[in-house]
Amino acid sequence: MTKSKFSEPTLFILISLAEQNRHGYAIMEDIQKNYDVKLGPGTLYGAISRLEKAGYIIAIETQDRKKPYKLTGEGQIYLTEQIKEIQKITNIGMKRLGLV
Amino acid sequence: MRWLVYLYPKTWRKRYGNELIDVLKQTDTSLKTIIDLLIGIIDAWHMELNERYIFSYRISQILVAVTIVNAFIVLKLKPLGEVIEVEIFATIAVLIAMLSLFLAVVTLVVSIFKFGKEGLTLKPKLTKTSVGLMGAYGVFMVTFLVLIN
Repeated sequence: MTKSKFSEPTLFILISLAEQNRHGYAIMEDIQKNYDVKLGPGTLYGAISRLEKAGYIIAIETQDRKKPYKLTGEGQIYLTEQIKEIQKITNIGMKRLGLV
Repeated sequence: MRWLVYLYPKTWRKRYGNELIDVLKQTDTSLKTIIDLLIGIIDAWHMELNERYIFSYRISQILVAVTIVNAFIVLKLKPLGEVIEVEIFATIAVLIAMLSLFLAVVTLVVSIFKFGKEGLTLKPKLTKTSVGLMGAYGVFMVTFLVLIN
């Protein structure tokens, strides 16, 4: 899976799941609370299906209709790479703006 | 708003439908949500069609149907010869349609030879082109039928 196939919502979801397993609505709430971004249900499940297909998250089987999602090892590696890349961009930006 | 979930592809709906309905129950109904769902539906269909195999028997059925339609049109053309002479646009339309069909078949065959089983999916550009040409065939054939009538 190439990087370009993933967007901001997918990163938010991965970061949300890095903290704990969450089901769809809980992910939405976490994203809204932390980034003040309200993900629509269509966007949320579009991103979830992509991430599940890529093997970065898995659904935990429960009796409940609400399935919590879990970050996989592969997902953790991918998220780490992405965060490092964002960090690199942020550092360059901060330096060039004279903020550090 | 729940009815929008039924517009998602069946396999997608089976996997995420109930969860999405649960989330929708807890979300405010707004135009923004509806637009978001519609975009989600397009996205899901796009992913589905990229992965779905166009079964070869379906293609052969389509090609047989198209051949029958073409034979019917050619038979109709003879008595309509005089009309066709006058209706230059109808002639151009049918020629473009036939050319599109020919190119569609050629590109599909090339795609199958080049990509094997994957050539029967919508992933290769060649198969996409072939489907586009089939669409062009349909459009020009309909135009032709409208013009001769």
